[in-house]
Amino acid sequence: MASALFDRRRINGPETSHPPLYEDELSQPSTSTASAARTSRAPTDLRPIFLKTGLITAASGSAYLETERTKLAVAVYGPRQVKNAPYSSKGRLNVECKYAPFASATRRAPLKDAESPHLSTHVAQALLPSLRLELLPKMQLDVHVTILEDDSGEHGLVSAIASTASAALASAGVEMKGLVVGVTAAMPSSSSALPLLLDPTSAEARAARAQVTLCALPALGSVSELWVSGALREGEEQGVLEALMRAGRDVHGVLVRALVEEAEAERSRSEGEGAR
Amino acid sequence: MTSLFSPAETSYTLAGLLSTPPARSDGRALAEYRPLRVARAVSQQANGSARVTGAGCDWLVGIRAEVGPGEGGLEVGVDSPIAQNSPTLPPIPPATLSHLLLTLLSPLLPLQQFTILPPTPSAPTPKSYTLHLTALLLSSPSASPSTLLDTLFLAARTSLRDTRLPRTRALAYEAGEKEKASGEKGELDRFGLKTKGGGGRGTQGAPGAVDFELEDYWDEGKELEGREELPVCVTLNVVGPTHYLDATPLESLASPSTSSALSLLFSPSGTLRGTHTWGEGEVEFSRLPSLIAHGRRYAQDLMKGVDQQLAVQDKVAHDAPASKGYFES
Repeated sequence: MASALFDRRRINGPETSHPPLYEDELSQPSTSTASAARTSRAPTDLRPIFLKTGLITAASGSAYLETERTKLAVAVYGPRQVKNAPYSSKGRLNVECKYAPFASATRRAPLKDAESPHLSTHVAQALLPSLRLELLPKMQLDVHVTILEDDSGEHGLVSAIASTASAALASAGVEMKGLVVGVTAAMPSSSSALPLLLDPTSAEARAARAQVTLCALPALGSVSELWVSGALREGEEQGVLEALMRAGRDVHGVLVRALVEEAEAERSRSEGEGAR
Repeated sequence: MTSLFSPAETSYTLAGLLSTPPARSDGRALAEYRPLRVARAVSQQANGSARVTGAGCDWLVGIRAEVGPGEGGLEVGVDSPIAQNSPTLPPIPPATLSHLLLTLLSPLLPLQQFTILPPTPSAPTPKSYTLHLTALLLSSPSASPSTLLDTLFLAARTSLRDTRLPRTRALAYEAGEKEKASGEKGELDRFGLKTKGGGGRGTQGAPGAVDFELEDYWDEGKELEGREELPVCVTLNVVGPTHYLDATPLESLASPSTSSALSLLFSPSGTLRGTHTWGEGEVEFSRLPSLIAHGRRYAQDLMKGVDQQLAVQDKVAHDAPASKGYFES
């Protein structure tokens, strides 16, 4: 009767709660939707990307990404001084990825389950080769990522966050060697006839036998991170990597367009103010 | 960490790695590991254990199977206080190593083999084995983080292949004559009946298994399913146009801004089971397929060498059973 959450001065809700079951969900068993072929786009098509920078005015730089049902916001603070640490001749990059409680199908408790150090490690690794940290001694860059809705699975999120964070860093004016873009591919299990699916949704990702995330700098033709999980057979890696790199160049174009739009809007705004 | 090695040392090492023919400080070839010694079954209390010495470090891995509620599976704890406080290594968060082991190895071990008592309507929580894998770094005088990862995976793989799960037999209360009908022959094979005579205590309709007993004693048991596909990890340290294996701390810090490490996991069948990238350098995209192909070859050579070593040890142990323990004779 006396659970830890019982408060006698307030009206308490039930001790356990479950998400509601909708009738149309009951009639579709979850396994059949995963093996259904992709209908709305080709296997090598990415979902349409909406990327806009400069939405969070308090941050040095920010970017918001939306691809169908994946939404995330990245804010960059810095470069600012590292207060309580000894001198280091290279800057530090801190990445923090947090899920909103309503981001996934099951609710994540705000303080316990929300943060994901695993995602943060991968994203930091993806961004590191593009930054010129030796130009920022005793400084740190804080990248805060909030995942508002997750329809990509962990691999897909790493690639989406890497692209968005790179746009946010560029919007913040941090010097970089090139923009990082991330793309993910899922290899469906052998029952399906398709060789690979680019930019998988979380249902496709769950049904896949392998997922490959490639974070690259298309402008330089180099790779900052390769994350494979699952089983990738001998000889498949060539085709997968080439498809990912081709898709990465398309994403790069989207990032560049978003940054150019922001720069032009900024310029016309300052010209308008100067004319007055 | 920046003032760990002098610029003269690091530039000398880097020049050696990039020269033709390449020269490393201990005279190794670029694709050569330092001598590794792998030993299996080093602990009598553990269900599976392994020890890997060499390449500048010393890992001891033990696996303990515990029975508990739930679906079971693998849990990993990596204990490396030495690596955290070592003067020659940049600190690696211990959670990273545990997490890598867990996410890359546990999908290969099918969960059904861990179930002891499946869930029944009367007892909805299943009982199953959970394998607790603990890895302890005993010393690391001259290992870089990438070498630590390679040797850790090797030790974990060897101990998982050595693990034996005691077989269990479910016990049910004898419910009555009807349940022994021949229609359930196949299923009743798994169930031992508790009492010899008539009338057990429970009079439930279906033969619900409520307890289990062990069929095997301590070091007997069934090997794990999926052990044939357990991978080894090879880390290719990419610097400039070349790559090399098994970096010493000096080599790994030789040129941090242009070097990176690509850890690749390969099963014996050549399937790529996982990768992990680290470092501040970029790798040219066009080199990736050839790096992966090289890694596959190195992994297969490594597995062959390890299998040979273990075969020799098994033969010796079989011929002259000496006392087992932490120290090999």
